[in-house]
Order: sequence, then structure tokens, then C-alpha cells
Amino acid sequence: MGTPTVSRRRFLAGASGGGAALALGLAGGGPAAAAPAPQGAVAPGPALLEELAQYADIPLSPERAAQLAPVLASPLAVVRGLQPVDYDNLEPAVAFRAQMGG
Amino acid sequence: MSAQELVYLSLREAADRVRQQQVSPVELLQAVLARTDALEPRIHAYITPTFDEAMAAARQAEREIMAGRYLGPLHGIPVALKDNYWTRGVKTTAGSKFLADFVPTEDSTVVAKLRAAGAVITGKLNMHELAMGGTTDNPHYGTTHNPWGLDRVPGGSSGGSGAAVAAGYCYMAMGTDTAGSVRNPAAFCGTAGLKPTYGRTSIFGIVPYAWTMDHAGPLTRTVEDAALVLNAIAGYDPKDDGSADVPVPDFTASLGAGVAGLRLGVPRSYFFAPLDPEVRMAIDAAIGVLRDLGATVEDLDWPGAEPAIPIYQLIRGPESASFQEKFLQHPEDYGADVRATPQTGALVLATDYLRAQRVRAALRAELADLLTRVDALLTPTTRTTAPRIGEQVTEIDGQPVSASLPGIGNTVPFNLTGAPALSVPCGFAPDGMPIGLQIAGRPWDEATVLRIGAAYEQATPWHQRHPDL
Repeated sequence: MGTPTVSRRRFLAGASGGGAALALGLAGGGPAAAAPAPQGAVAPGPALLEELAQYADIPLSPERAAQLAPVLASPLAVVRGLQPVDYDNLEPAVAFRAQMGG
Repeated sequence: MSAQELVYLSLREAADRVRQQQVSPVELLQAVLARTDALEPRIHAYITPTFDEAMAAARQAEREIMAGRYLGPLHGIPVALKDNYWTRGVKTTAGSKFLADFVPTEDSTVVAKLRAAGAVITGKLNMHELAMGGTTDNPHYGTTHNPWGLDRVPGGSSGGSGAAVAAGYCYMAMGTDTAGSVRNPAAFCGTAGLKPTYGRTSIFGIVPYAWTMDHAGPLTRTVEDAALVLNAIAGYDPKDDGSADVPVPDFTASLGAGVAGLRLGVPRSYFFAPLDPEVRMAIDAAIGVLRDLGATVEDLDWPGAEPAIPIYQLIRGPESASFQEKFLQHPEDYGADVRATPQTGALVLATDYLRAQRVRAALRAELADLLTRVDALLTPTTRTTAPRIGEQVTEIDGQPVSASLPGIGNTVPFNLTGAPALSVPCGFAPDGMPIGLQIAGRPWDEATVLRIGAAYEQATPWHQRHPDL
């Protein structure tokens, strides 16, 4: 994991204008071709989903947990495998904005 | 003018006649309501018609126009709304059993703007349950049928909106678009459909699906109509945290500028593979038309778009689960095809959700870079034409595909990036089903997207065809 080097200001400039976008270029030309993420991809099985559902306080039968496990595992495996260049400096595409006048 | 010709005027044509007092708002409304009465048993586009209120609004518009108080091109024009737009005093179900009795006490911002522009609202249209799917085969409110083929889906989730415009029920219908839900039914129903830039149109008062990807946009008969509607509904809204305080141009201003000198990119590696051969033929022909009109067209690559669906899935799941937290206590009240989205979304780790949002930021930067080389991208809107009701597309051109790819694979990258994207009719398959061309551009540059769409539309006859009902 490298030390973050891209300031928030530079990130926003690149994202909106395209000029600095290459600074965020993706390894191998895109996320799909990027190197695996360091955290790896552990597929959540039905038993884990049942426990998580209990933790989240939502009803989930064992049969339903078994149905849902592959539904969740598939996108998780892909997204955990994506590692854009300079990922450490990427901020999520959601922003908190203080309002004018408090 | 025949009744059929009257209901199939473009919004602009209807507005011109209203302004010149050649036709009254009441006459327009009577024509579309007669059409709806005749066809609705076969189409089923509405959840809640509001025809009495519409007649009162049409009479008021008529009085105002006769008195010289003309408000603009939406004044006195019948329009309809997807049933996830809050309407004061009118049931707003979002196609969900959970919201069967929800009656908002105020209008969504878009609805308030439409009313302020003098539009006549004819009612609330069917949609895929909670906007979480693409068939509008709704277990609680019925199945909407595609006017071009009654055994086909109209697409979704704004399927009622697509069907209503295609069937001549109204001159414009509002949809919402989280993964393609305006553009997909536009393509399947042979209408124009615009997803503006994220933040251009307020989503305040729209039942949420996934806040960071929800967009409000119109389905219309022509590109010019979409521009006219965007003029009326765009603008900063302090009630919507995602709304942007940016200048709002006149979106009709450059519609006639043509495409000579514009650079158009065709990202073939992901967006065209696999692709139904009939769709490919229509899209390649459409690209040829734009080239003949003077645009420079080049193939390019956007490999970052390939994992768009998994990224979207890890974002829409938790966001929908958050809004639907109370609904999740009663999973039996969901339709079988949508239940999995919030159920799995509730179990996604926050770090995985944020990983998807961070990768999304990279995708946005990658598109911004592409759009320094070209002015817009051209793709098929969908990979196939509208499937039959109840049918699941499992392969395209002999290749197995995931359930989501045919309908939203090409549209969802522009929800993740927030870039504006338009679908315009670009032909018909041999079985008579419409095909859509997607034009996507730079954030806040809807004007160029609409300009390209208008140039294409003016050079081709597809938008002038109507279903034989």
C-alpha cells in the first residue's frame, strides 16, 4: 500500500474535467484487467449470511440464505478483485457537502 | 386531423397548436383519454389514472390561454408520471405493496415544476416494483404490455411510461433511471428517453431506489420534446442533496446545429459483445447515418465499463436496503424477482459498498478521459429487442449472458458516472420490435447529446412510426 499522494483538490479536478484523469488510470487499461485487491475475496456462505441477517435484525430462513449466497458472492468477487491504479487515493463517489448558512 | 394524428403529435406540435389556439387543452385531453379508454384493457399502463383532475387542469389551462396568459410549451399538454413521483393527495405506490396506501402531502420537485409550467397530469403509471427491474411485470399492480407487441415487455422500470407514450396516451411521461430505467423502456417502446446528468434534475420526492444513481428523466416522442421537458424540470433544488447549482441552458438552442465536425466514439469491446445481430445491423446503420451527416466516427475502448454491473450491484443493494429497512421485516410482501436485491444489500459490508464507490470514482475519471478525445459515445441502448413477457434472455448470438446484461449492461455505466445519456429509435427488427441507439456525453453537456440525437432523428423516419393497435 503506497502513501497517498493525490490531494482531494486534484482528485476532484481530474474527475470533473478529464484533464488529470490519467492520474487515476486503471492498471491494464481498466478495472477488469487490474491486479487482485489485497483483501482477497472470501465468498460468504449460507451460514454466514444467516448470522449477518441476525446481526442486521432481518428475517432470513436457511433456505433463503442458501439461495442468496451465490447472488452476493458473484459481484463481491468481481469488485474485490478490482484494484485501480492509485486506489489508495481514491475517495468514494459519494460526498458530504456542508450547506451554505449552516 | 384524425384522432390518431392528434394523439401522435409531438409535444412541440401539440404545443404550437395550443399556443395558436388551433386546438384546446380540453380537446387534446379528450383525444388522449378516448385513446386510453380504448386501449388500456390491452396495454395496462396505469396504476392510478387521475382523469377528473386532469380535465379540471385542462379547463383551467384553456381559460388561461384564452386570456392571453400562455405559460410555454407544456401549458395544457397531457403528460403522465411514473408512480414513484410524489403527487400531493394522489396515491404513490412505486409499484410496491408496502406503499399501496401512501398518499404524499406534497409534490416531488419535478411534478411541482411540471404543474408550474401548466402541464396537465393524467395519472400515475405502472412500473417495475420499487424500480428494481426491467419488465414492468408487476405482481401487485399487473403487467404492462408493449404497444409494439402485446406479448412483449415494455421494458422497465419505467415500463408504463414507455407504453403510455408509444400508445398515444400522453405527449410525455416522466420516468426514473437508476440503471437504465428511462432508456431501456424508451428503446423497447420506440420512444426517445433522456437520462440527464446526475444532479441536473431534482430527485426530491421520488421514492428512492439507490440515491447515488437515481435520475429523473422524460420519455418523449422526439428529441426536441425531451429538450423542452428538460428546460422545464432542470435546475438546482436545495431539497435534494445531489442537486447541482450549475447554469441551466436552453436545451433546444443547438438542436438544429447538426453533427458536422463532432467527434463520436464507438466503444465496441464491451458494449457490442455479445449483441443481437438485428440490433447490431441497426446500430451500425445509425452510425453510418451520423458519419454521412458529417461527424467523425472512431472506434475506441472503454474496458473499465466491463465490471459496471457488479459495481452497480454492490451499490444499489445497500442503498435500497437502507431505504427499505422496514420493508425487509416482511419479505413475503415483495415480488419474488426483487426480494433478493435488498435482502443481499442489507448484508454487504460497508467496506465493500465503499470499495464499489471508490472504483466508481475511477470509472468516472476514465470516462472523463475518453470524452476529451470525443464529444460523445454511441452504443446500442440494449443488447436485444424487448423479450416476451415471462421470458428470460439467457444467451445472445449464441453466447450465454447474465440476467442483467441484455437490459442494463449498456446503460448502467452512465448511471455510475452520472453522465447524460439519450436513447433514440434507430430501427426495427424484422418482427417489428423497436431498437434504440444510445448517445452519451460529457456531464452537464446534455445539449450536445440532444443535438446529436436531433440530427439523427431528422435524418431518419423511425420516430414517425406508431404501433398498429
